Amino acid sequence: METTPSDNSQFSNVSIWKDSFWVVSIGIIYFLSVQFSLLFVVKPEHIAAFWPPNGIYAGALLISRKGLWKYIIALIFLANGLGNLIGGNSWMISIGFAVANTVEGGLIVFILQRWNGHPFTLQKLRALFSLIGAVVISTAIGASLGATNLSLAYGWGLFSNVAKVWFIADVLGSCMMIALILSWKEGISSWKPLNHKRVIEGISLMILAVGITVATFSLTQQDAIRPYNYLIFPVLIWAALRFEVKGVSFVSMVTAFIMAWFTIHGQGPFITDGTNVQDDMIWLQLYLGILLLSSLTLAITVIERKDKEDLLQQQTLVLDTTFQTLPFGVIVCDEKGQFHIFNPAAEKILGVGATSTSPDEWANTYGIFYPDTKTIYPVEELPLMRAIRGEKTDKIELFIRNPNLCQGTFVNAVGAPMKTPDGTITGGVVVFDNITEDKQTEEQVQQLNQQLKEQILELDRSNKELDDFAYIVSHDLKEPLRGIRMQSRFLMEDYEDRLDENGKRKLTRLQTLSQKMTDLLDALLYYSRVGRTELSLQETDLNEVITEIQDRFHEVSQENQVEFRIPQLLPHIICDSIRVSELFHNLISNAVKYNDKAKKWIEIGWQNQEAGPPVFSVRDNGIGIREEQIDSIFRIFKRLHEQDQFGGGTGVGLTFVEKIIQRHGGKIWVESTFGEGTTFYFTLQKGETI
Amino acid sequence: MTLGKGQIILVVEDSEDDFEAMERAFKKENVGNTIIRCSNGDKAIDYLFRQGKYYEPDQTPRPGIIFLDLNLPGTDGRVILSKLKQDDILRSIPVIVLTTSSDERDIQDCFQAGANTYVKKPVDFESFIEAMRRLKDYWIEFSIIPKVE
Repeated sequence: METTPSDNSQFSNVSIWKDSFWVVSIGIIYFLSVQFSLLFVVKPEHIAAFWPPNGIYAGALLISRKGLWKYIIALIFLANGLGNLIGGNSWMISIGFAVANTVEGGLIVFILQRWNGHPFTLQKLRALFSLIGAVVISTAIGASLGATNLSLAYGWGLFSNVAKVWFIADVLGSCMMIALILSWKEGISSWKPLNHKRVIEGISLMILAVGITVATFSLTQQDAIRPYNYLIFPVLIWAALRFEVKGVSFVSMVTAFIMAWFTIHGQGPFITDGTNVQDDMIWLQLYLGILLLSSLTLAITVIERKDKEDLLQQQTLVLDTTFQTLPFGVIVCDEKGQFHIFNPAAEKILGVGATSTSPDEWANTYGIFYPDTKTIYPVEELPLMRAIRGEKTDKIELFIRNPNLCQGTFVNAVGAPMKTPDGTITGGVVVFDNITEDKQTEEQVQQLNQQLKEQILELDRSNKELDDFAYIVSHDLKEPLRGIRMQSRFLMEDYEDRLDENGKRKLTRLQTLSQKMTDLLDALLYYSRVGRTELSLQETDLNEVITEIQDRFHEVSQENQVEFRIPQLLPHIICDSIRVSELFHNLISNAVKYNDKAKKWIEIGWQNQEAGPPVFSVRDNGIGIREEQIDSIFRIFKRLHEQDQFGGGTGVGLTFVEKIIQRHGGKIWVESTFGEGTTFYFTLQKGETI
Repeated sequence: MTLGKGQIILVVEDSEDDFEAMERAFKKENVGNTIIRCSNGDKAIDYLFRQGKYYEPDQTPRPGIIFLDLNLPGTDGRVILSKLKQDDILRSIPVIVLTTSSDERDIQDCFQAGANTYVKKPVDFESFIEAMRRLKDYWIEFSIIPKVE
């Protein structure tokens, strides 16, 4: 016997006491039952003609946990041996009987476990037949062992008779007791407070059973020929129908003891001539066996039917509750179109409940229209009608409008036929949902989307117009400006000798101003061009871009040396290489320009992000930006310093940078510590690494 | 001189001031060739392709060299350039793009279309004169230019 791990985990003082009590009780009950059964010992072989102890033993194993089996088996062995010794058998015979009985009961349980698993319950006919099979096989082996045991002591002449009596006595006893124990265990574990009507009925049943048995078996020889012994049948049927297995097994047990008692004492319908009690007992037990088998079969059939009914009832309950609470309308009808289920949601959505109108009138009764809300829906095409015809329909939109539903409701309906396994259509089901709100929401979303799209288009258009405007304005302003410059120059050239110093200074000032204006217009022109023209995207090696800029810087200012730091190789990206070069150039020249340190450096780095494009950074050790000014650095023509400080400039560099980044779908942000340096970070969404 | 005395210089330039600046520069550099000016793109196309009022070949001698502004009223300088360079005869005439635009895209496009050189109009007059001097040295005195009939 194996011990399952859970047995060990339950190891505690309380459970030890409980288990010990349980095992010892089984031993005592078994011992008492052996003593009781020895009353049915018949001559000449001195074996009991009626033997329930094995059933008690096997039943006890079946309802005990596996961990206790070895103790129960050992105790049964002892109790059986002891009982036989007390009954007057020799040591040898007692041990032999103990072995035979222990093996027999254990084998029943072993076979049942193999066939039906653990725990074994007597709820199905299959289980009943397994039980009978297991009992027959085990008892055949036990009977052979017992007969061999006795034959070894008294000679082999006894063998067949002993085996026969043992077999029949034990088969009946075991079946009866196992059924009794299992059913009563079941009854106790699912105990319900007793209803006194039931108690009265049970007591009446027992009185009738005992009365009939006693009456039948105390008859005289002549009367016994009459078939009075059939009187017990209706009683057992009553027990089976009303008290199931536990009723049948209990009534059977009580009546069997009474019948056996009378028969052993030479009374009852099974006594032939009073000389061969053993044979009479065998016939009695066959009779009892038929009684038990029939009534158990009946009882279990009743249980099975009841279980099925319970299940069906439960399923009906589940379905009913579901239909009642479901927010979807559910309508079920038979093949003629009579409604069987019409749940509250269906009534709420349709505005009209179940009616008995014929299907031809459905569209009119409920006011079913096409989604255009005007055309009445053809009855033949309704999902439920199609379902009755055997068609499945997927999401059909309908519009419902009737006197109870003046506003009208849009529903989405699906239909399916109900088909028996052989394909007969027994009706149809339609399930539908009120989608009016969804439709409204959807319309609103669509409207908002449309508005948004229009606004975006409008924005794009006005942005483009702005860029165009800037371009045109700056371009067209530039031409006359060039003219002013040229003409002032020609003036200087042609009238030099006629102008005094003051005139010449004013003319020079005019030229300087127009130069300045040209610069501003150029910047504006460039800015609008970046916004106007399509990007010319191509694979670009940023290392080349940076190297080129670096070279340009070194060429331009030999004395103004700056250290370029590039900690890791830059990636290849898809971008407009000209614009990106301008971007880097602007950032780098800013970094160089706004730097008062003796040793200037610029660090150009990048970092891959898990999601999104890489982040580039241009860091310097320059003058930094005051925190309150950070927000305004990208504004066009915004200068943070005086005109002639840090080499001057129009204040457009960072505006260009931002515009180029925006055109690439990227972002730019800046971190700076005033006096220590600035880091520009940016992404180029379209510039994914390769 | 490699640009023949009789060969004319065609200047496509809408700005009076720039044209005056060019004239002054040529004068300072003693360029003696006849200068014909087209003040918009359409006139330039008509002249070059001898159409409209320039249909008479005698009155529209082929230029030896063309100075082309890009941003012009009417037909754009870029269009003129590509039309010129697609024409079997006219494509031999050197075209000097002289423009205020310094857009990379313009530079690329012009050379793609077949411009012979690209010069940004210097903003101040001294540089303008200098630029014209260099162009004269290279294109009018140094280079050998085909005769186009």
